[in-house]
Amino acid sequence: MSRDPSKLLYAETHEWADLVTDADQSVATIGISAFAIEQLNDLVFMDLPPIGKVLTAGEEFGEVESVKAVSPLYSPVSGEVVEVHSELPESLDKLNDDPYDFGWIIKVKLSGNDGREKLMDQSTYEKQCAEAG
Amino acid sequence: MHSQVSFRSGRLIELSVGEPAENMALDQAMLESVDEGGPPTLRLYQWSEPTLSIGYFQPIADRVKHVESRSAVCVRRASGGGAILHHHELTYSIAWPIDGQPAGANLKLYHDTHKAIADTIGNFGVRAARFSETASNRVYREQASRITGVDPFLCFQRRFDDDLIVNGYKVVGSAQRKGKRAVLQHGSLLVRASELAPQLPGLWELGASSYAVAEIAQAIVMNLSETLKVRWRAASWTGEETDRAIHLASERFDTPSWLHRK
Repeated sequence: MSRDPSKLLYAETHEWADLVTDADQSVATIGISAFAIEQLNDLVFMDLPPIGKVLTAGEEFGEVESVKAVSPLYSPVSGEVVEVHSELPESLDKLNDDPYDFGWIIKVKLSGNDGREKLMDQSTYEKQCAEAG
Repeated sequence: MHSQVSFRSGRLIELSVGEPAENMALDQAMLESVDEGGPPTLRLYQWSEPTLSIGYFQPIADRVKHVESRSAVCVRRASGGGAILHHHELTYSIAWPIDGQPAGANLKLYHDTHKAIADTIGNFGVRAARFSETASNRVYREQASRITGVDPFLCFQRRFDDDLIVNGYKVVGSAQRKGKRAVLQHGSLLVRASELAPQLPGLWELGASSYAVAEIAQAIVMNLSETLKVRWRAASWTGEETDRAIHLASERFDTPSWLHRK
């Protein structure tokens, strides 16, 4: 089933988070928004974190190289990296077509003060993007 | 009636010579300083010895692709793109505050900086054109699309719209590294050809009236004041920046693990 962008939460730094909670734990699947991918323009390299890395909301978890710039990726939530999309760095050309399903980057098991209160819904995020031009 | 254009204040770190890891560490410290609210900062520098700087994502093993520079020391940059041989050249870096949260490169900064450099070298008798405005643009793109996925090893053999081209040769190569609230752009202006990269002519071989680096640096500062609307004031590093740069050099830029990370 494909992921619905209107149901996701967004960080001001353009990462999206899909939060799923079951009986035992909450896990956020994280990627980069379609807006950011378009702005980044021709992604050529991506670095992923190791599984097990513990992240704080707002902390760098990876990097991308696009035309003329290396940009950090910031984790929208706090927790432990439990899965990485290791196929993605070799298939960055597919990100443009499918940023919300194939384009997931990492999965983070949430912990402590997980940082989700600072995230935006899609309409608020789109306003930020419109202001950024 | 002309509207009054307001100039902001910026900090200028005047032309100096640094060790390879020190140079990269100072650029990173400068980015972090502006990221934390410091003023725009411009720095001009040279290298204490011929140095090959490789892009953040370039495999170190690719060094063998350029045999002429094999005797040069090597440092990995925090910015991307291709390798640069720093020898008879001038390096600049700018740390610039970002408004809002744009994604990707700050292309306006790239464009404005290169315009200032083009104006500068024009004053030394060398007329540069943006790559996107040159006749070779279309040919290069057609070739690039046929040979997919293989960029030349050297930055100066790659092409991008705002690259400055003189008689078919690229004379300035720049790249950016983003922080959260600031971006670092650093780049190299080839002043004279190096025997360690003889395929790349500098301004002197392309007909410039001077290869005096200090003179060129001073002219770049003046032109960057106009294009970026900044009044540059000469300043020194803060104690925090110096301490941070020493730490970054010893823990990152001068370590084998950083050099060999790819």
